[in-house]
Amino acid sequence: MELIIETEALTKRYGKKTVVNELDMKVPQGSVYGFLGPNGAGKSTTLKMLLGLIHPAQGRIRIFKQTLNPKNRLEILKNAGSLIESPSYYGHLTGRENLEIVCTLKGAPKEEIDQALALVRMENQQHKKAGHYSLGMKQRLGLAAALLGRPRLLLLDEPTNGLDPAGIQEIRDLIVSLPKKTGITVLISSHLLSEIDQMATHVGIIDQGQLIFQDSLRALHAHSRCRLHIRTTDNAAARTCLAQKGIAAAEKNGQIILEDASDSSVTRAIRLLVYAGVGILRAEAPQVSLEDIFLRLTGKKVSL
Amino acid sequence: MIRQLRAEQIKARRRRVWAVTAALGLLLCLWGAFNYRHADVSDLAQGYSGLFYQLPLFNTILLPLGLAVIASRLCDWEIKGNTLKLLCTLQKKERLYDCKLLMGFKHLFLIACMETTGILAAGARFHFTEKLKIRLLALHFMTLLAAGAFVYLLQQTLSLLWENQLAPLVVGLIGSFAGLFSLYFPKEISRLVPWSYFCQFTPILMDWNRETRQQRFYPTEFPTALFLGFLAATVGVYIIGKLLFVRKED
Amino acid sequence: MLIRCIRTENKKLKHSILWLACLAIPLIPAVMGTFNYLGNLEILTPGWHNLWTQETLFYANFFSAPLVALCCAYLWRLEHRNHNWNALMTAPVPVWATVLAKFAVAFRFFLITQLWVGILFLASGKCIGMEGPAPVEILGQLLRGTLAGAAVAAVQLFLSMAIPSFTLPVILAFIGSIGSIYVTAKGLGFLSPYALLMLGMNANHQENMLEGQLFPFLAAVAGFALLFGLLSIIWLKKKDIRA
Repeated sequence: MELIIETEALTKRYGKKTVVNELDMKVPQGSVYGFLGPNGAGKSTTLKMLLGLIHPAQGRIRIFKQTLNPKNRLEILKNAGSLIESPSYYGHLTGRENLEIVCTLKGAPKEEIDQALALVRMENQQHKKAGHYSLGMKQRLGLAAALLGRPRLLLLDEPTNGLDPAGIQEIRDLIVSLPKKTGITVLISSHLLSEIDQMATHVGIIDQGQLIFQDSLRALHAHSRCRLHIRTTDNAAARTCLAQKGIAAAEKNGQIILEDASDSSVTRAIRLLVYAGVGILRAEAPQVSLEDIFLRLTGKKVSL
Repeated sequence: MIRQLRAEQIKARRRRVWAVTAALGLLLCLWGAFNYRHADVSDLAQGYSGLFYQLPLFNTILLPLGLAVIASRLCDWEIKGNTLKLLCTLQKKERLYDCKLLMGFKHLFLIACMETTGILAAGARFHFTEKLKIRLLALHFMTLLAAGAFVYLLQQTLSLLWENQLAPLVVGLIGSFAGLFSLYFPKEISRLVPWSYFCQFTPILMDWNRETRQQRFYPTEFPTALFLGFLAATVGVYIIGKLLFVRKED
Repeated sequence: MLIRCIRTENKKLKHSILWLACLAIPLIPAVMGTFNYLGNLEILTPGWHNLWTQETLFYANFFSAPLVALCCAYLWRLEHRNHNWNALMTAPVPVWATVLAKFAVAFRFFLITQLWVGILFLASGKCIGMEGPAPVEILGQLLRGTLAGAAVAAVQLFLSMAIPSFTLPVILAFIGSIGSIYVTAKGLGFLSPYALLMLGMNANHQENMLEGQLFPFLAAVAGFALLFGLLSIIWLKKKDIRA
């Protein structure tokens, strides 16, 4: 698996406060990498370090297999588009003129402006002043700017902020379709678990500056199918019986919950209960939501 | 670099920075010409000398704040739309600083051109009897650019470093004020005030006769060493200003 | 109502360097004017009056109006940025209170600046061994100048409200001041708020520039303040907020 972004022990401190702590991020080529974490976890700081906007206290960044340094930064970033925090725009210029500036600076052909405008569906508003745009329009303008110059990598910081539901869906579809169409790699940060779930192929979860999980989305979901909920006629008897045989079980909401839901463990537990004369009304392995996974990983409720 | 300058040009659309520049240049011309409406023979006989003496004074009053306004207008749109972080992924911060500087110098150059044209126009309109010395005109043009470049550098750096544009404007106002006042002090003191340099290189002195109420202008040596020293200081401020801007993180 | 508005305006100015500017700028004419006075004693008749001419020479002619303009521009810049217009216009206070509160705060800045100018004048006079108390006329002129500041503040507040630029109104005040020297020389000083400031302060003149004209002067000041105050209120009521 080829890595587009690779960081080693990336750290940023402001004064004594460590905002990003020894981050080892690995973004594979062609992936949509969801960078997940609550507000203030260090997502934006990490993205800014990847773009060279702020300097890491320690650690190394490799993008396109080159170690990022002040000299080659712009050469590398030529192949990357970005949208960081609140959108950047010149309020006194039209949307199109804003894109002309980015196009000129990137040295991209002017025809790409029309393509980018079409991609984010802004053709009709391109001659209005950016200062009069709604937040959602500004966000799209920022996305269009990021897409100019046919980048191989897209860094997006909460790109659906401020969009209406239809707009959110559009942007999501666009982001999901990009890697397939153009082979682009997308790194997208969000504090919304459901959003990452819908778009990402890979996930990194950051909390208080530390990367607490990083793998494919499938691996994250695998985390979740490991509990069996059993409804019985006699919970107390069921628990005693399971405890005697050393099978971990808890009771929650009137259900017995088996921590280990592997096939052999389930067969054994059910057989034990049936022999003990406990009636089994229902046994199910509900899909655990990402919220629960997050809760389990961080030990706290995520702020949505 | 050409591409980056073109981007600055696009940004300047609809901001009408040139209107400020034009207003400043026009005001300077009018102010200079104003004194010659009722000029007598002796005034006309030293008309150009008089202008070369007075215009630097008007520059000292008007340009520190004027250039502060131009610098602030050229930099403020980056702060308003928080575009610096976008630009930093597209161009070197050093280049951005240089591009903005060149844009500002363009306006300074326009003001200098307007003033020069104004001098020539006043000479023609009021029929100066003094012969125009091209050397003095060139010196006037050059020293205005040098002093303006220093002030503009200072203001641009402040405008880029400070999100709040109040501070650079206060500095501009203080500059106009201090520069003007310092001229009434001995050279040793006034030379410590950078805004006074619009006047420091004037190669003309004035003698005012109290009895006849006549002004007499006479040429003096151009302070070449001082001028070169000032240019060196300007380069120093440029290096420091650029370094401060490049090292600023946001 | 008004008190509450003024209090919020004060809060908005926290952590601002406006005070520093108002305190620092009068230091320049005080220090330099005094040295200038000492340096020119052979041409000037010594005395409080001439010290006053030296200190107000440039302050009143060129710099006090831009200083007021700067305060006004800053007060409105706060609203022009970060969508604050919406908050301002939906606040449950009448428009006149908003306008008046801004005016009160801007005028207070100038009042304190002028007070500081006065203190510096007296202190510098005492420092160079000026004899006797300062003439009352001079304090009267300081007061007149302060009142004229109200006219300038009203005009500048209107400009800064209508022009969403921070710097443009300031340069307008500066250009206006310089133009007003000409206007004053023509005897039309009452037609320009910036000229009122010069006339009020009796800048660079020994004889009273407003001899027998105090009433028209005050009327002009009140006229400008009222006119532009009303214009501000009307403009705010008609404006569509596009923040």
